[in-house]
Amino acid sequence: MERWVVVTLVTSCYLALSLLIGWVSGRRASDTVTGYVAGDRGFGLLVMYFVMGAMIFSAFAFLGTPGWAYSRGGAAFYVLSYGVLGFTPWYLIGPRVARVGRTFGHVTQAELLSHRFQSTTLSVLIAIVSIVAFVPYIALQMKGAGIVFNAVTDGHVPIWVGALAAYAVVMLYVLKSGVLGVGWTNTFQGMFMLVIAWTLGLWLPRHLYGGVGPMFERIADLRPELLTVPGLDASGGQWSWGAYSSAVLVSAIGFTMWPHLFMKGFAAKDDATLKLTTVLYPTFQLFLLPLYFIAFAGVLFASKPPSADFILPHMILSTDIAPVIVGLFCAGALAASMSTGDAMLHAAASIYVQDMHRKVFAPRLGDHARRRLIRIVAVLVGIAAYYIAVNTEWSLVQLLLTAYGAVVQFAPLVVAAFFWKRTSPAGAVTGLVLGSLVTLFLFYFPQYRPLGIHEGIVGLAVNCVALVTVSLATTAVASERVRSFMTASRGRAPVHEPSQTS
Amino acid sequence: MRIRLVPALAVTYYVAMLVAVTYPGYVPFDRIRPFVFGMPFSLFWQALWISGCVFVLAGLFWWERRQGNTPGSGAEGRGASREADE
Repeated sequence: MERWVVVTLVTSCYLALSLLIGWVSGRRASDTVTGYVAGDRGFGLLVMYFVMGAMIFSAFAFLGTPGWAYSRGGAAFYVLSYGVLGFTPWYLIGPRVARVGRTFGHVTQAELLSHRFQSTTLSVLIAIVSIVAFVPYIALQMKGAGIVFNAVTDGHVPIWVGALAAYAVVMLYVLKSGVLGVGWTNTFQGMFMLVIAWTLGLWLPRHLYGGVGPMFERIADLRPELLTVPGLDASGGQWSWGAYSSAVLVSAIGFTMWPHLFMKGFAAKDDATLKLTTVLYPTFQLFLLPLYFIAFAGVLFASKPPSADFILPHMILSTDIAPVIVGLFCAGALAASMSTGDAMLHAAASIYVQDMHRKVFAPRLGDHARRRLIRIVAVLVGIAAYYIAVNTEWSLVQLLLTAYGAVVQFAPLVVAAFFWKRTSPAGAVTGLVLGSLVTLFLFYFPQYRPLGIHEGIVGLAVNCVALVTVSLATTAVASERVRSFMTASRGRAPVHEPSQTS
Repeated sequence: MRIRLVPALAVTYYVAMLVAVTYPGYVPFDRIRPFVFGMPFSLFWQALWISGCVFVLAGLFWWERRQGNTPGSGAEGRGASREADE
């Protein structure tokens, strides 16, 4: 049998298995919005761990990170630390989010924030920012899936077919099973890509150089500039510490603010589950190490890929590996793409209906109708993203950093919601709007960025200042409401109980 | 306000890590040799902090569990007692 046929068969088996798991897992969910969007708040530790881990490890982790390490060396190390720095505060915030969600019935980030700040405007703004950040991101995941499929089948499967095949499966299980489909497929996909990454990461350097150590020794002799931080910039010059550090910072702050990740806080069974997920999360992060090994294995590789993002598939195809293994690798990359794409697709649709449509167009929409509408919107978002994926050209990392810049602007609102009673609706809205505008401006006019600092950080500073000053100058939210919110966040009954502290 | 040792240590570790993996804390350790587990030291340095994080957080979680029956102060909302109840 021809090599590409075997690869396609193995990959198809993986897709079929994903579909099966996704399809079957939805049977236990109740027929409500909470069931569809937050899994009836019943996720245990295993699913939470893989949902949080696999959701973050996207096609970007599988292709972009090795691509960066290959072309820019130590610059790629920033991805390693920001995940842990970004996720650890979730230990403090996650359980509060979950408790407030349980008390007031929230299933999205904007629901929680607009409830706390008494502002429909805020809800709509957050919904718009979220969806604007999601659609290109989903497109990117689809494109990643298509690219891998195309590369490993020597071009026999066109990009549009590969993307379509992977995302038809995603669409089916998201429509059928909602967040439970996302959760259980992510568990399967997460385990799958962990195994693939570690196997390939240890095997490739061994096969090519006789081990991870000897490989790095040789790189240290021939290309030492690649092994230290901050590494190189896109054009091959020295990257600055300011840019490196602010990339870590902006990504860490933006990390838990991603609406699809934040929303999973509502799906957790209890506080202990959320906390343990945070405890174990760094172990998932170490999964990047084998991907770096693979990327560095490519540095001294004789032939060059068409672009840095292709280094991983390029090496795997140029080395004499059994076609079944190539197929498994392809499936692993698809798993990375799909486990992120599914959560985002599901989140984008849920956010549109819960935070925008219901608030603006149809305030009386019933539970059943909303559930149906979420499914319809999911299909529309999928089609829009697919159109972008097939018709545009983007670099993987640039887009990721840009999206983070916008999402980071939610951070002051979340912190203020839980820790600063005085925040006013006007302050919250002004902070978000100004912060986002400054970020956008500096993104398009990078010459105005101070010290090469990431635009999201500058936006964040403006956001915080605006939030505080405007809040102090305007009327805060009614103290009764703030008290019931704060009490709920500490896990007590939300009744009119005298608040204790802070 | 009474500062509790374990949470304070966890926060300290977090801040230390933030400094250690960015400018300027990373600079002295941003070197290729010695190799550890085959990795250049700059890469091992990050892996070390990440692994440490698991132990610190596990310690914090374990500590909160042990505090299970004493009411949380509320101000920091550590909420150990409520975890056990739920």
